[in-house]
Amino acid sequence: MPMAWLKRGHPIAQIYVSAFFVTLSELALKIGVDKTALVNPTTSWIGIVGLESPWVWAGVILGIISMVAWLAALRRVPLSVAFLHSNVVYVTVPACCWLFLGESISPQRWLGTIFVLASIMCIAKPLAKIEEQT
Amino acid sequence: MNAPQTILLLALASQILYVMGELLFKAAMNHTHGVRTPWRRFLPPFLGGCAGIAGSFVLWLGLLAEKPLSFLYPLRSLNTVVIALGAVIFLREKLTPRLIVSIVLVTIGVGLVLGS
Repeated sequence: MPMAWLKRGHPIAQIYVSAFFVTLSELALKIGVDKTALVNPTTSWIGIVGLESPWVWAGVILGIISMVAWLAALRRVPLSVAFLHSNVVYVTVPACCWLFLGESISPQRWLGTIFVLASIMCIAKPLAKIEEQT
Repeated sequence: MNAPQTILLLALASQILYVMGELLFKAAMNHTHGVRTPWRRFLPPFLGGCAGIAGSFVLWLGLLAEKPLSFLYPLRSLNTVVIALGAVIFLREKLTPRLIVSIVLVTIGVGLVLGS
């Protein structure tokens, strides 16, 4: 990620880039643990087994990239604004699960996700205030 | 492992560890504003933060091995409730109507996802 873009790029664009990398990171983690679960079906619930997969490490690196973009944005926009925009991941992650991982998502799960999204939109401002105080 | 209650408890534990890790990182970073970093004060919360985030990550990987990502991801929102309730209990923040509505919405949402 170019340093100049981190310093001078549009902060809202940086938040969406961060959300993009969060989505990629979660997909990579899921692919990784599924692959190790096929090899070790009895111990797959112990998360540490997943660390055998290069996909999981790719997920960690993608997560770090998303964190860098997030921190770059936070230098120039209030946390409450950043937090609101970052919630796009609650739509992109399930949508990409359906598109790329072939997960079937029932209308009930979509409805639950919409409720969760509404809750976070509602709490974003007071929560950001709390986080800024701590 | 596949029972909704177990999944919910593990997801909640993962998010509590995550929030604890974040708060400890914040506490560690508060010691870095001076010219010299006081390592004896910085290291304990920093290492505690690393342990919290690592524990949360390993629990999350274990959950991912058991359930679809589209099922689990909305449960990540539990960290907002953990932070909000933590602030009410420990920081004596007011339990505002907005906070109550948000907790009700997330409870309905998580319930719908767990039942899906």
